[in-house]
Amino acid sequence: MKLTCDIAIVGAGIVGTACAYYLAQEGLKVIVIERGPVGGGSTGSCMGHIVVLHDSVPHLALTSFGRQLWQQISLGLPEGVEYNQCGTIWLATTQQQIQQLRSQQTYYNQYGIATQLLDQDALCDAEPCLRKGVAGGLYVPDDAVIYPPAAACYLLAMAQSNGAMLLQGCQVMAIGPDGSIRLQGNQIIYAGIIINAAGCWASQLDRQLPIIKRKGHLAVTDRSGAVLRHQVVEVSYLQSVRQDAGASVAFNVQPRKTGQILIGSSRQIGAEGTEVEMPVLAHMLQRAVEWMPILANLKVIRAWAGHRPSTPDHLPMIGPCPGNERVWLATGHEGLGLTTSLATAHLIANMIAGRPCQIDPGPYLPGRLLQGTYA
Amino acid sequence: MAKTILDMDVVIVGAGPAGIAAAVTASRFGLKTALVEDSPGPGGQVWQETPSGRPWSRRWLNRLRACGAQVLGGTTAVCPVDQRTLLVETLDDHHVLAWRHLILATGARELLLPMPGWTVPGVFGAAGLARLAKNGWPVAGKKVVVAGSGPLLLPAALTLKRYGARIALIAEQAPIGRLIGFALACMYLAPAKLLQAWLYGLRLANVRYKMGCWPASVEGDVCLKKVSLVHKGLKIAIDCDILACGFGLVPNLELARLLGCSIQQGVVCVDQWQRTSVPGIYAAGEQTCIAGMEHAILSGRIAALVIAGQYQEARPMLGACSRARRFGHALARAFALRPEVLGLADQETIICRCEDVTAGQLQPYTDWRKARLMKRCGMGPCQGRICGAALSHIKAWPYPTARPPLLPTRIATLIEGTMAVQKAANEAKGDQI
Ligand SMILES: Cc1cc2nc3c(=O)[nH]c(=O)nc-3n(C[C@H](O)[C@H](O)[C@H](O)COP(=O)(O)OP(=O)(O)OC[C@H]3O[C@@H](n4cnc5c(N)ncnc54)[C@H](O)[C@@H]3O)c2cc1C
Ligand SMILES: Cc1cc2nc3c(=O)[nH]c(=O)nc-3n(C[C@H](O)[C@H](O)[C@H](O)COP(=O)(O)OP(=O)(O)OC[C@H]3O[C@@H](n4cnc5c(N)ncnc54)[C@H](O)[C@@H]3O)c2cc1C
Repeated sequence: MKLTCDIAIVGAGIVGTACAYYLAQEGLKVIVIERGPVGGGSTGSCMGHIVVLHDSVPHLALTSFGRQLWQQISLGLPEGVEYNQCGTIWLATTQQQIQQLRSQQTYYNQYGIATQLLDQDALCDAEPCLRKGVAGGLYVPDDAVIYPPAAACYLLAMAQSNGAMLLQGCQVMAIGPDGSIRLQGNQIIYAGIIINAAGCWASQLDRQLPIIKRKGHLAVTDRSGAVLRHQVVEVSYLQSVRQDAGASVAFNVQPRKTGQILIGSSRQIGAEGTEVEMPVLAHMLQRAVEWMPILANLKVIRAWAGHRPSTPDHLPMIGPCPGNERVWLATGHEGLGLTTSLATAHLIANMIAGRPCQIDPGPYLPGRLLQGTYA
Repeated sequence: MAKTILDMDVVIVGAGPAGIAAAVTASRFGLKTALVEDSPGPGGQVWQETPSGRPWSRRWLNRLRACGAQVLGGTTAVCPVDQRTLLVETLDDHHVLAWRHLILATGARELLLPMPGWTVPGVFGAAGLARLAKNGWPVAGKKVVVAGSGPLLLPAALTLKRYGARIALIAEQAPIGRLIGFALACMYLAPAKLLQAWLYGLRLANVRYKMGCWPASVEGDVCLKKVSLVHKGLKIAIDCDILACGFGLVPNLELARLLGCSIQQGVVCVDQWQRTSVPGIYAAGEQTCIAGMEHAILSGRIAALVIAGQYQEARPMLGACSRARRFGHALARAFALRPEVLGLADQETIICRCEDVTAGQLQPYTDWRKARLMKRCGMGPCQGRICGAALSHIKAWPYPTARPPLLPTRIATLIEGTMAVQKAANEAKGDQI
């Protein structure tokens, strides 16, 4: 039997499931193809911080739109997704960094994003376990955290309730410009549009995609009783994000609903495996202890590592491949895929329907990084 | 603060019979040896120093004291830092041990299988409770059902009886036919063991012992009230205070797995010289074969002799060691678990005690990864030690990959231990230039 559909999505990470979520709502016949567990790729090893980032205008636009969409659906999210609008606090130590927070605030104001500057005392009240003497912070109250794999499962379940189908345990071997998808075992599926949402592995299906893996480590503590109320990130995290060589770490901690603390984060290029590397783990923990000395005596119950799918300009690729309207991309979200998944899917749904988009899709179109045509 | 690294010829993890025998033997040849043990003192599962300590164990413990090996009690092996170092942690400190040879002698733990009510206070591991009793846990006057499987049920029951417990029943799940076959095999492989079992039998003469009988559920809320068992297709209910229940032993493989040692059929693979698949790493005792104390001692001695290059002395032990292993295999066949005891849990039965995950919640999942992603099964402080063993039996799920740290570990330990190793590596590089 020939399996056909309007849309075939390769990959059931947070991005693929978000696409299924919106596209199935449109009444399209959607098939999601996933070789492993739903949300078991990068999505299953990430931090789940829904955060507005002001790295560049396109970043700000996509992250704030993404956050807004999460907020919209947050009331319907099941408990297991653990949506918690705890807000982010960005930390500054030097006067120069305080200045940086001020301009960040001005910038956010222009986009209607609520913020509040915290002086040393206010910071102390907000996060009593931080080391003393941190110069100040910027509080972004609408940022949130979720439990990512559960979120992917929820989005997929909603899509399925609108008729979407999941083919699980199926590896996609090749996708063709004619809308054909060859599965392992040579079964072929025909789709009006194929969306490649295979995260770090998207380039296995299309060699020209400039996606590399950026490894990240995380560690989680036991239920410690240490106080942490917000996701707390040092402002120089942004430098760590932009860094293109070697390994870097930044202080980035997250309160879990269970009372545990999730500690991040590291960035490394050229590390293929997901094994935990002690030097990187130790370096990352050391950084965390410098900011929150109390952490030194807490216990790590588990550490792991994952990969971020990253592009040369650190922006995702969202939209049709140049020269082929039947193969679309939704990948390369690097360290922000959780945050921007719904925004990505929303853009794609509107572009496919030929409707205007809420934000300009231009900066994310794949054409900017791909010259070759697909045909 | 980065600490100095303790340089050792031989590091042994686990101070049970296997680790102690290895430490004593290695020290004889002047090898600088450290013995790392999680419990406060050496002894493992059978040689703990208790007021009633047996002469044999006292002899080995005396040898250990005299041999010059450095015994690090109350010290847990947490993870390797690099290929030749091991990070260990104590209650309030940590060390890095650099080794030339590493012997894994981490032993085994009791297999607990989930059944309705098994999380009620009053349900214990059988051999575990016997150990607690020896250390002063009060069982006097308590009415106890001893149930499960394996040769440890009898000595456990006997110990409990000696400390004043009233044993209502000993229930062995294995059918009588298989046990008779096993007894015949023992006549050849381990006649002493048979005699021992017979002596146990005499001393437990007036205790009810049923074969082909197993516990099905436990009732009680704040504490245990009643145990239901199945025997010959019928349910028997027994009012009691304690269920002492163990379904045999499972090797502690976490460290071996993390070090990349090949593991097959639930044990660390070793050759006749106790060498694992990783050069420089040896394994001895229960984690290479559940075969009891004699095997543990022999295999520990062989590993140390091989490290010391004393093949002459090791060679005559190989026969006995392999016979002991065959005894272990016969043991495993005789006490193989019947399918019924693997299916005791109902929908509401908790499987992962750390994260409160029930059997019903796990039903949709076909492997660890999914169960962990969706239900956090095995992600609590015990890191799947209890539910992992249970699920590998119930659902035949292979164990999840091991990651450092193996056990909850202080952040300071991870930082300082790693830095010490890095510092040493940098200094070594400097020396070369
Ligand atoms: C340590 C770390 C921390 C992070 N923290 C955050 C954070 O706090 N906030 C945030 O917004 N983002 C964060 N991220 C980034 C985020 O994890 C990713 O951007 C996001 O998960 C990408 O989602 P995805 O759906 O594109 O990829 P994935 O989740 O990897 O999904 C791709 C799926 O495709 C499947 N697949 C691949 N190839 C095939 C094939 N040939 N056939 C069938 N199936 C296939 C894979 O099995 C996989 O399930 C973090 C990442 C890391 C590593
Ligand atoms: C609860 C229990 C009771 C038993 N009772 C009997 C009995 O009465 N009679 C009998 O013949 N056999 C008994 N056995 C079987 C017993 O295991 C063997 O006979 C014998 O003790 C095996 O010796 P071993 O050295 O291999 O392991 P063990 O004696 O189990 O010693 C292993 C040691 O390694 C330590 N260890 C493990 N992991 C780490 C780590 N990461 N860091 C530091 N230390 C670690 C453990 O604390 C333990 O002390 C019992 C087993 C169990 C589990």
